[in-house]
Amino acid sequence: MALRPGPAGDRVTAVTAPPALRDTLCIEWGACPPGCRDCVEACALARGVARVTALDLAEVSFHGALTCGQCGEPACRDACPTGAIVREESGVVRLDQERCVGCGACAGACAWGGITLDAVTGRASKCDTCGGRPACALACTTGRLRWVETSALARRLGHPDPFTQGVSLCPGCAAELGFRTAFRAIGPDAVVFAAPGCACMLACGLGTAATTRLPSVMSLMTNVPSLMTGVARQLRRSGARTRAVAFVGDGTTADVGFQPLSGAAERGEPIVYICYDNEGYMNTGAQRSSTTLQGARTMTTPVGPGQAGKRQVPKDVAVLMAMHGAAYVATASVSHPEDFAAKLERALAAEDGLAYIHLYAPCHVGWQAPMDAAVEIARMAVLTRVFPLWEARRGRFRLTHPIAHPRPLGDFAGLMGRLRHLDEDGLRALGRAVEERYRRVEALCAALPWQEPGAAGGR
Amino acid sequence: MTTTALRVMDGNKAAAVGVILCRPDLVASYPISPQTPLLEALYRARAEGRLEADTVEVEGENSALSAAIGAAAAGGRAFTATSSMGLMFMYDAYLFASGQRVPVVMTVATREQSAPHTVSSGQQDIMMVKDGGWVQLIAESCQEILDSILVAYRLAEDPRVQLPVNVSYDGYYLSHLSEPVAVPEQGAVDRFLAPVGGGKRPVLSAAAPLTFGAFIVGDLYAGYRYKHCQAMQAALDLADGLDGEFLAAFGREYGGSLEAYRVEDAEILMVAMGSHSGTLKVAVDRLRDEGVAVGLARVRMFRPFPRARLAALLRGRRAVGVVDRSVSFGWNAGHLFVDVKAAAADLEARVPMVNFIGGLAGTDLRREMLEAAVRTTLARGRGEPGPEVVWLNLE
Repeated sequence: MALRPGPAGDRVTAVTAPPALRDTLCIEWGACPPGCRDCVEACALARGVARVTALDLAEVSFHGALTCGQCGEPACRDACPTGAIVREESGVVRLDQERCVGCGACAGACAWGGITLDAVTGRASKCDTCGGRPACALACTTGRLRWVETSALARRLGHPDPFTQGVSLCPGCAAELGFRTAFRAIGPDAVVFAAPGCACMLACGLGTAATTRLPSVMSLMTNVPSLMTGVARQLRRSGARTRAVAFVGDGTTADVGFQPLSGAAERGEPIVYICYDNEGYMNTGAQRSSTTLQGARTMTTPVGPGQAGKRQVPKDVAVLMAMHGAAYVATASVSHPEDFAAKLERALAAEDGLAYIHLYAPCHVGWQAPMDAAVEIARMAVLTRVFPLWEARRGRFRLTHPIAHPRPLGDFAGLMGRLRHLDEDGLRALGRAVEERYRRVEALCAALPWQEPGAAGGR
Repeated sequence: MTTTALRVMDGNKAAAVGVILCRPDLVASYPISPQTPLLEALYRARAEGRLEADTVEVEGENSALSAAIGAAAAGGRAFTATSSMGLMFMYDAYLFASGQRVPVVMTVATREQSAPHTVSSGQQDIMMVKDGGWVQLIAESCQEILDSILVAYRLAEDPRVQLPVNVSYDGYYLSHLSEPVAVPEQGAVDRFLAPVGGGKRPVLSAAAPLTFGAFIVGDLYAGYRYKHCQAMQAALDLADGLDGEFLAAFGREYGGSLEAYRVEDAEILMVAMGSHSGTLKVAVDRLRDEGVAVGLARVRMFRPFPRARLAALLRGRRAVGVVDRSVSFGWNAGHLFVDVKAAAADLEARVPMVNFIGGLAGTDLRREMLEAAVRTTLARGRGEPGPEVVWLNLE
């Protein structure tokens, strides 16, 4: 994989080097100013031979830059007869010019034009990212070429995905993404708790086949934190440092299973509880839950002359948990994985009480949106202030992703069918509730500001 | 045989002493009458350093049982206790515990069910969970409460059984009745429980990951149910042998799953379980003095039901009288009566049976009432007509 066009309407294409996330050169595909050759000239100046190509195709109105994508499984490397091309641990595919015999097999093998045979030297040449400070990106004044540091996230998600492939969740499921992300951050020293709902299929196995390498418990919807209490206490008693971590839905968390969650928070049980919020009972066909957004159409809050979707505002479970004085509480979104991963680290560090993370995980099926829309909906929820990202330690708050200038609510609502019935009045009403929720979090942050650990007395 | 001197204590205290002797890892609790003093005794013991268990005061009964299940699933020995509506409130976790084969022990100080509301004694609560897949032991005395808890852990943690076990005792009649109780020595209890100790059962561990509560579709599910029935049968098979082992260790015996009291040459047989069995024994003694050939079969293990041993005791009697402190709606008879009739179906000859329902909501089952019940049963055996179900103290 290297440079590739993004989905329709999305001109941003990451040049990534899978499977691990690396610092990477990101080129906004086909969005360069016509005639601009700043990147090519900067590369040539820095490296002698330009390893980036400007594609200036006026006849098809395409103006872009092209370079090596540092493939995870580089075809050039496989084609090279002398072993001159290696993929380094850093993710960079490096060419050893000493060993290159100029046969051109690499350039022939690369489908992306990422490696070329240089006519002057008679050797291949390709981008090696300038050791992490690429001259092209530094020279680009339009922002079309950028150096994106993803290694921090890669480190945070440093564990292998403990769940098998082929689980029976819908394609494009944000909850599955969140579940896998969470445990790539948490690692193998954990017992995972699931409850009836979509995401349990990652943890509970099917028949005699396990679906995870982790020890896992398929709980009831009514007793997740209480089972965790017993397990966590016994594990501690036996000297293990294994953590009890739940990944369960909003129906379990906010509705039928809220009592034991409240109890476990009050008792300060050292468990990590992640609620993936898809705003409804999606596994049973999209009925409303107490976290469903007001106005949203679900199977039990239909839209018609007598009703326009859900009447009530969502229960803000995360704020409720923070009001318990829980050791750590955060909201997170599948669209902001680094923020999520950082919060998981703080949740795991809070061993003196309950840690709660409320993860926004849109269900494109229940929300009536395209299969690839869930993460973008989540991103828009953050950018429109529909879903504020914040954290609290022992009831002391801070916004982790303040939105100073929110996008219009329509940018969020327009992405899904469940809100499409809202007219201007409906959107305005939703907007007022969204602003009220955001301002409440802001007010909490101002009145009860975040304190770094150690700054205030623990429990 | 090692037994210390007698100490006077009520049933809740006897249960607490039994639990402490079993050295649990976790005690989970939520208060409900009439079991609350048991939990208070355990918390006091912990405060005084006589109990090493972790204790957790949860926000409801479902969580109490769930926390106990969690600790047991992670390899610990867990205990909780409840009664009446509390038992109902933990019902989903109750079924989870047995289906997941988690060896939790829970005492139930039995009580009526609301509504109409009452907090008084009765066996309705434990009858509501009789088919929930747990082993059900029902005690007659404070001594038997203590002893049954030892047996309960031994059964629960036996690899052939590996099931949760209830030890039930009549609320107030036993929970708040003081009797002399022999407290076993810790060493003897440790030896008695040693065969099942050591955490060899499958437990939650990051070192050897297992899936608890796997999602099952199709034929495999029947296999789980079949093995659960096998485990129940194993508990029944073990119970009688354990009684002998208990005698050797502590000097007391109860008859295993079923106690037969003065059944030799008995023309009629009474069947009961729980504290009023003691009153029935007095009634049997007095009527025997009058020349009435009556005996008592006391069911100690209600699940698995000792149907073969009971059928053998029923065989050849002129009549059988069953005393119940609960009601099976729709059968409009007592739960024990229905089961006794089912056990009698295996017999070649029909045995006339009569059911006595009494002692509901804490009303007394007095000796004279039970003597009258024996006489009624005797009359039925001689062919006198009458209703199949007789309600004692019916207002």
